[in-house]
Formats: sequence, C-alpha cells, structure tokens
Amino acid sequence: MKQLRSAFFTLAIMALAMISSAAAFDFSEIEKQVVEYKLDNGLTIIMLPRHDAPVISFVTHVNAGCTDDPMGSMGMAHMFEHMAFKGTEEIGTTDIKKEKKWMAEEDRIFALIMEERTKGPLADSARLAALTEELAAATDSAEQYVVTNEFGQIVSREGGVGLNAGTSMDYTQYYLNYPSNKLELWMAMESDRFAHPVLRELFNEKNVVAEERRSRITSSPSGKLFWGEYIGLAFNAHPYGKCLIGEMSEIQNYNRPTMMKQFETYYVPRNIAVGIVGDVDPDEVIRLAEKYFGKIKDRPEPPPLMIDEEYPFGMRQATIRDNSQPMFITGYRIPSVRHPDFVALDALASYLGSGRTSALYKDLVKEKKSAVSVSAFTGFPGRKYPTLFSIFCIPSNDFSNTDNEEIILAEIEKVRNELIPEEELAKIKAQAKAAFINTLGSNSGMASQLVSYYFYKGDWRELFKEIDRVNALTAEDIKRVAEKYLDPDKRVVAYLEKPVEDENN
Amino acid sequence: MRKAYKFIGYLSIVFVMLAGITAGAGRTIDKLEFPPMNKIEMPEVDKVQLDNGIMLYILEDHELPIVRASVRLAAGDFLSPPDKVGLGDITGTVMRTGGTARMTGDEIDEALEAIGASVEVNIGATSGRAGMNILLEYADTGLEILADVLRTPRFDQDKIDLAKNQMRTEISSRNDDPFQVCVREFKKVIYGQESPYARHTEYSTVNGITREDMIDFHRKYISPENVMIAVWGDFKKEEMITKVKKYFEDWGKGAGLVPQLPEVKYEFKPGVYYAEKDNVTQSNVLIGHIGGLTGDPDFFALTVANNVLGGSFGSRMFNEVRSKKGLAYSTGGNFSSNISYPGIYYNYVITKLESTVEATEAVLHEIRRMQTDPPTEEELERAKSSYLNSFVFNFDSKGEIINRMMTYDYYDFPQDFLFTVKDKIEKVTAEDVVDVARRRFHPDEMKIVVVGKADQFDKPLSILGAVDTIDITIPSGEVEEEVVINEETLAKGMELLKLAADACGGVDNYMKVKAVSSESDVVLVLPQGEMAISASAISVLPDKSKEIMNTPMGEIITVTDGETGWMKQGPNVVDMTSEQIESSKKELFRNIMHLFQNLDNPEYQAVFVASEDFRGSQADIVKVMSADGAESFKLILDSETHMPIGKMFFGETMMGPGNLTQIISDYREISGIKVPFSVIIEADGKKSAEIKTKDLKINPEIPEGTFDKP
Repeated sequence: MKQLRSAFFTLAIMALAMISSAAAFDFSEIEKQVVEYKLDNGLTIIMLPRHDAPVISFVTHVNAGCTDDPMGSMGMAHMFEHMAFKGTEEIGTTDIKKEKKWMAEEDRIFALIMEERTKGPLADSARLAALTEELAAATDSAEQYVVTNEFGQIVSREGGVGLNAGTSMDYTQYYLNYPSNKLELWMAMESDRFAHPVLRELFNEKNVVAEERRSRITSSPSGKLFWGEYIGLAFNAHPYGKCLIGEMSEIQNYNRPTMMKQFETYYVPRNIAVGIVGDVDPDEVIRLAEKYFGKIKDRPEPPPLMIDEEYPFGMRQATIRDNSQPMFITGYRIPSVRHPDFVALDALASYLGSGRTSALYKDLVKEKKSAVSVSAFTGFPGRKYPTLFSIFCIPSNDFSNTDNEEIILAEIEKVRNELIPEEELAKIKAQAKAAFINTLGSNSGMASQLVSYYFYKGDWRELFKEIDRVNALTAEDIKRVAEKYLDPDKRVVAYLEKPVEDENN
Repeated sequence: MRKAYKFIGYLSIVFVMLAGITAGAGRTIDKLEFPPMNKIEMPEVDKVQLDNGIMLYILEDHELPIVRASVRLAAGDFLSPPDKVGLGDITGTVMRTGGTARMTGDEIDEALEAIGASVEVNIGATSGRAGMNILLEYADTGLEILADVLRTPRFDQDKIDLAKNQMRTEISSRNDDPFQVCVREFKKVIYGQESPYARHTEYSTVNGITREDMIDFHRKYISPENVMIAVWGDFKKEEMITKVKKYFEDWGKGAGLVPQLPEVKYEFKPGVYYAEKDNVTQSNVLIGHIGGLTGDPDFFALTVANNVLGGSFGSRMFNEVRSKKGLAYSTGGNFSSNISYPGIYYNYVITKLESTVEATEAVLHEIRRMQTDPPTEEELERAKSSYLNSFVFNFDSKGEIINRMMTYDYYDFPQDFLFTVKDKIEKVTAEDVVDVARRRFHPDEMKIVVVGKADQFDKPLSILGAVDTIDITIPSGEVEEEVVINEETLAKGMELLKLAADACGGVDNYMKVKAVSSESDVVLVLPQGEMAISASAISVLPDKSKEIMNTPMGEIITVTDGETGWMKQGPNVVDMTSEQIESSKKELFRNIMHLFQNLDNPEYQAVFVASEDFRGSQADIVKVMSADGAESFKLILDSETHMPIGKMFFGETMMGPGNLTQIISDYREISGIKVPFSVIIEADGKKSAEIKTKDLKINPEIPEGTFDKP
C-alpha cells in the first residue's frame, strides 16, 4: 500500500513538473525596473525600486576576497571585514587625533616586533617580550578614546536592521536594511567607512580572528579536511588552495601599513558595486551617491589574477589520521561560473546530492544505510575562477570511507553513461525556479544577487537569464558534463580516518 | 615666511580645539536631516466567507509567480490542561510531521522538496498559524497538503517521539541564558505560576502527553469555526476562491468555538524575588508590573514615556545608569501590550554582581523621576522618532500585513489602528508624558526579579524589600515507584550485593584498586544517525577523573575532582556548572567499583525489589540508595552467577532526563577482579550508546599533571 502510494506520488510530481516547463513567467517586467549607474570614479550602483513598503535593503559588494590577499597575509580580506564595523574617523571615537597618535605608536612598535620576529630562531626573546609589553601599553592608550560599537549603535537607533557582512574567496559583502527615509544616513556612513578606514582596535581584533581560526579550522576535523587538505591538494598555483582565514602566523603578522596598501589596491571604486533594493527613487539615489560615494578618489582597477592552472595530471589524495568520525571529500576540477557548462554542473550536483530526495542520499543514506550524510555541490572554495565539483560523505558506523567511495564512484559512472530520469530533471528545474523566485521576493536577497552577478558574470542581467538556462537543460547536457569533467583518473580525494591501530598496544 | 607658517600653525590649533569642544555636534551624520517617512500603502484585501463559516482573506499580488497562504488558528497552548502544558505546541508540530490520511510525513517532505515548496504549522501560547509557500503552478498540490495537514493529521508515533525529544531538549537548556531565566520568572510573578501567559513545559507535562491527547486536541480545536485563511499571490481572485473552496468548504464543523483567553487579575503590590544562578559574573534584574492593552487610550503616551525612560540609546536609563554611573552594559525597558490581554511593564538592567542593588536603585530612581521631571524637547523628539523609525518594519511584507488583519478581525480590533499611531505619537506632549507616568507607573509597587549570586552583591537584596527565593532547578519529572523497605528486604539486598562482590573477585581485591585507566570505542546513536568516537578515561578513586572524547567537532576533555571540574573543547576551557558536578557525583554513586568498596559504608543501603526476567536472564533486582534517599539506582544481578548484568536509573539522556538502562556484559579478569568490557546504554527504551572497552588497567601510573587545568 505504501509502495503504491509513493509510486502514485512520483507520477503526480512528474505530471506537475511537466506543466511547469510549459507555463513560463515573464520576469522582464522586474528586469526593466532595474537601474544601473556608474559614478565618475567607477563605482557602480544597481537599483531596483520596489515601493511595497518604505524600507530599503543595501548590499555593498567589494570584488575582493581571499584570492586577492598578498602572500604572507592570507585572510586579510576577512580581517578587513572585521575592521569595517569599528567605525570611522567620526564614529567610534572621542578624539580621533589622539587615538591616531597612539595607533601610529602601535604601528611603530609592531614594525620593530616584526623585524625581530623575522630572525626566526635567532630572535632576541627578551627584546620581543619587552616590545610586546610596549605594544600592549600603546593599545591601552589608543583604546581609551574608543567608543565601543558606536557604529552599530547608531544603526540600530536609526531603525537599521540586519547589519552584517561576509567574506569569501571571491568577494566581500556588507549588508544592512533601513527605513527608506534613512537613505542618506546609509550613504554617509557606508561611504565614510570605505573612504577613510581607521583600522581601529586592530591588535585586539587579531586575537578575535585567531580564536575564530582555532575554532573553525584547528579544532574542527571537517575544517582541517576541507580547508587544510582538500583545497590544498586541488590547487597547486591558484590561491583557491589557500585557507580563507589565513595561517595563524599570518594573522599574527597583520599590520596597518600592509592592510592599508591592500585596501588602497582593492577597495577602489571600480571594484565596488552597491545593490539597493526597495523604496527608492533612482534619481535621489544617484544624487546622494554622487555626493557621498563620489568623494572617494578614483584609483586604477586592481591587477587581474591570471592563473589558469592546468588540470591535475593524475589522482591526488591525502589522509588525515584523527580520532574522530571518519569522513571524506572528493572532487573534480570544473570551469568557473562564467563557463556555459556551469549550469549543467550545478544541476548535476543537485541531482546527485542536494537534499533528502537526491540520488546519492537515497542510495547511501536511505537504502544501503552506509552513510549518515552525503552531499554534492559546486562553488567550493569559490566560483570566480575554475573551481571544484565536490562530494562530501560521512559514513555510518559499520561502513568505511572506501565502502562509500566505491558506491559513489559507481553512481558517478552511471551518470556518465546513462541519462538521468526525466522526472528528476523536472524536479531540478522546479527547485531552481522556486529558489530563484524566492530570492526575487526578498529585497536583501535581490540586492545581493544583482551585485554578485554584476561581478561574476559582468552584467546583472545575467541573473534573469539564469532560469532560462536551467529550463533549457536536457538529460543529455547533464550526461555530457558528467562525462567531460568527472574523470576518475583526475580526481582529488581527502580522507579523515581513524589512527592506525598500534599492534604492540 | 617663518612667521606666517607659525601663524597658520596657531590657527589650526585653535580650530582643532574648537572641533574638540563641539565634538559630536560637528559630525556629518549629526547634521543630516531626514525626510519624513514615506506613506505606507495598504494593499486591498478581499474577504469572502465559505459556507462552513471560514473567513477567507484574498489578495492578488502579481509581482512573482508564487502563492502563499496563512491560516490563523484560534487554538493555542493556553488550552492545554495544567498537567499537559505543551500539548497544543506539540500537536501543531506533529500535525505537519506525523503524516495525514493520504501520505506519511516523509512523503509530504519529499513531495514538497521536489517542487521547492513549504508547508508549516506552529501553535503558540495564545494562537497558532499554518503557512504555505509554493510556486503558482503547484498551488493545488500545496493547498491540498495544507488542507490535509489541518483536516486529517494521523499523528504517527515515531514523529510524536521525535517532537517530545525536541521539547525535552529545550527544557534541559532553559536555564542557560540568565536573561531568559529572568524574563520567564518575571512573567510568572506578574501573571501567576499557573497562568497560560507565563507557565511553561516541564518534563512531567511533556512525558504525560499521549497520542490520544493530540487527536483529542485536534478534534476539539482545529475546526472551521476556529480558523481564518489568507491566500495571496499571483492568481485571479475568483479562481483562487474556487480552489480554496474545493479544499476547505466541505470541512465539517467541529466542537464549537475555542474558549476565550482567560482574564488577567493583577493587584499592585511590591515584591522582591531572587533566583540563584552560578557561573555568572553579572546580575540580571527585571523591575516592573503589569503592562497594558494595545487598545488602551494611554498607549501612545505610554510608548513615548517608556522611550524617554528606557528606549535604548539616549534614554534616561541609558544615560544615567549606563553612561554616567557606568553601572551596566545593558539597560532599558518596555511597556508591552497585547490586543487580547495585558502585556508586562518591565525595566531591565544587567550589571556586575557587585553593583546589583545600586543599579536596581538607580533604575527605580529614574522611574520615579519620570513622574516629576518632564522630558526635554530633545528627549521627547528622540523618544518619538525611535519608535517611528522601527515602526515601518511592521509593514515590510504582505504576509505580516495580512496576518495582522486576521488577528485584528479575530479580536474585533479596529483595522486602521496602526495608521492612527503615527499622528497620535507625534501629538504626545511633555505634560502627557508626566501625567501618564504618574498614573501608570507604580515605582513603589514594583516587582523586582533578580537572577545572580547573592553572596557577591554590594548590599543585601532585603534593602529593596522582603525577599522571596525562587528555585529554578528543573524538576526531573521522575516518577517514584513503590519499593517495600523493611528489615527483610534490606538484609536480602545487602546479601545479594555481597554475593555480587564475591562473584566479581571479592571485596579484598576491590579495596586494592586505587586508580583505573581505560580506552574505549563509543558509538553514540543520534537522531541523525550513529556517530563513532573514541574515548579514554583515567580515574583516581574515589572521585578524581579525566575523560577525553574525540569527536568530529574536536576533542572534548572533562576533568572533575568531585567538588569542582572543568571542560575543554577546542581552545575553550569552562568550569563545570553545579548541575554538571552534581551529575558526576550521581555517576560516582552508581559506579559498581565504588559500590563494592563501600559495602560497609552506612551511606549505602540496599533493598531487594524482586526477582524477574532481565533480557532473557533470571535476575535479582536490588535498589541501591543513599542513606538520605536522595540518590538511588537499581542493580540487576544474574540469579545464578550473581554478576551485575544491568543497571536502571533516572538520569540525563541526550534529550533531557529520562529512564536509563545499562546492559553490562563481556566480563574479563584484571588484577583479580572482573570488569565488564561491554556496556550498552538505552534511554527510554531506545539504544543511545554502546561502549566497547579496548583496554583497561588497574592501578596504572598516573602521569604528573593529569588533572591540571590548562
């Protein structure tokens, strides 16, 4: 009875999904309302007026992420994101002049510390200790002028909600929503923090970031597996192989002169787009943007990163021995999001391992019970440059990594040789469509997507073409990309296994 | 040249000094003037009544090809009987997860996932809501599932168990956040312990809920006369009305209207309440009394008065208590209101333990000052704008607007209420504020709830008034069972324990054990599947122990000496709470090795309970108790060999307190005593863990510093 009902249901879904491809919604009405404007200094504003409610969502997208960090200071983009909440020359301080004087003193002492540290084992530890103490005193002196978290306090007093940010390999985004009459306040505060960053409380914040690294990477088995081994194996030359948050020693090295140099190179108006969605008048936005963001000095576009790394010549593997739950991640090199095959690869990932009804989940978790979790995804560690198609699996207790790997590889051989069922393709299309439409419904989601597509694909209009591309996919497309990219001989795999039993024990 | 340069230098110094004096006022953002808020446009919502009485709210919204629905349920947890608090809540959860007449819960999950849709049900304290979000072309599928979930839920038992476990987990962590504790206890002080507006679940109320209770709750309260439906999205009104009728109009009437929310009887009377919580460095204090109704004519003046006094940045409490006196990092207040029953009026201050009383007095002083010192123009302006600034987020989605319409209609509240707010708030004068503060604030009749550690307070709390102590210990929900205790059962109990000790190697050999170390493989059975971890432990008897567990999240180290303890996960080291230490003491009490070393100790009593089957073996059950009766567990001894083969007790499971059973086997002899190498743990009848010992050493060398805190 239960079997029958399920079968009936699959049929029902199929029938529904068929209708879906027939009835296409016309998104061009929304597309037509989007306004793009470039300031003289090159900063781009992308607006979507939507007057349902007097609120606005803002997303500032800086097209610089971990891949742009200088050697020896990886993770600096992430550090800068932390610093952006510390205020400006006007906000967050009782006396910027005196505070800056002490910050300069911190920088002077830290330069001496670095000089000593570079001697490595030959460094004079007594001198280092004395300098470290001096630095702490200077930090205390600077911080007596700090008004803790004033930036966030003003935002909330004025009715702002959802103040936040995120850093990825590819970019950094800053989020905020305001009542629409606070447009100018956002313009003033947002332009100020990126026109004149003060890098306040840097030395204490380094400790916060160091803690973040400890908890996310060092003391997390999956953190070690993903960020420590997997991407490092996959990329030899490209910074996609580096850890987003930097090495501990690199975090210790962060300093204002290097950060400012990095800031001046990458936080340039030509490398920034702001997405503004909600109750706005585009002319008013442009007027205020000219007034506030227009003040930021035009600087040259940052240098492009041109490393087109060759595909692996063979299989690469690594094993972490750790006394924790075994797990593994395997992956294949795939092109960047700009490549036409990316859409089919995304669909393939969705078919294989997205959600509780995907092929691998049904096979490994529900039927064979060989795994407790399995998922497939693209876009890790980024998507701006050639990246990876990954499958991550946690075996269940009576099964090993290799048991599961065999099943997964067999499933992959299947998609390389056979067409996926039509109803599965229909499901992928329906899910993609629902996800896309729900994004359109959210002001902040929309603001984020518009600026992301602007930099990822060179034009925000690509966002609206995406759903057509998914709808045009055929089962043959999916088979073709599986065959082309999921080559078992050029695979990367990182295992986390139990320590080898000691025979003498 | 030189002179001129100096002159410029001098000028700039003057300029800098001036800038210093006017700091604040000179900043860009302080000079900004904001335009008035844009008008909030209300969508035109149509209302249609179905034949069975259901009121349907319908709104065309063609921006995106989506259909959403929201069903307002008059049922709330307030309808649950006092011994089954949480019944309404769990009924809502399992209506969605526990399957319907046509589909199982998992099938519903699959069907919805396949089309990127969602259907959810949630029943809160005073009302409930079911929601749907679906692409236009699947509207029928969504409405059908929504109707099924509301009309024909089948409450599958496995999903009931899962939901109950989730509720128990919530109970077990409810004392973690001291502010939450303070608010919870304050509500009980204001509304009364048993009031549906304040009461909460306990293990005993959750444990007592049955599938029949849920079926009954659903039958009585989820019926056409108690629901209102709203549907909005990309459709033609007439077509959608036809669809909704198709799925909901033949829903026959139920058992009548849900009873009205109970009235609140409140008497103004002062009171000081103290709840002790360890592991805190700050006190959380709530000061206040009953609040008001949203429809109250004083609502507007009260809102402004409250913002002058405690409405975040720039309020009197913020300036006086936080900034000038530096007494608190966080302070503020709220005169809360509801449409259907009065809210609470509270002012809070979170302050270091050593300034608890001083900070409380400072807040009280500011409340009193509201009745005498009218707000300055600036205060009045800030108070009004901070309300009006966030006000707009009441209208930033159609769902919010349409849900509010249903609520207002349900209580016959005027639909245009929120539109009168802006004008009325703006009209409030300084005199109105003082007047309303005099009439509605009762600084001499405040209830004060303090959560903290009294031994570190600056002054005794009794300065504030007579103190009532609140015990926040979470009642275990254990059901005591009758055991016959007399000379005969006591003697037989002890005799059986001695036989057991002999069977395991004899008391003499046990007395030689000073320390034990072990290495084990542990399998934990979690809701999402099994997880294998390895663990090692070192203990020095009686009560020093160190456990190291290697989990996918990293290494977790737990060390205790019986009186204190700490845990380390990643870089974080935290002291054990008194509850955790208490729990490790209980564990020691149940330790068999410890028991056999203490057979002469009058602290231990043993009562023979019965001889019966235990997992296929004939067994003698002995209840081991502490002399005061506070601790106990049942030891299960094989009737033939007298070896312990099991233990049963009430204790912490992963889902909160519950009945635990240990199945003990694979005895191996080490240093003359027999030690079990396999223990299976069952929580409430389900396997929750399996421990396989790989290696165990008696009296190993204990490396120096083993128990040192890092």
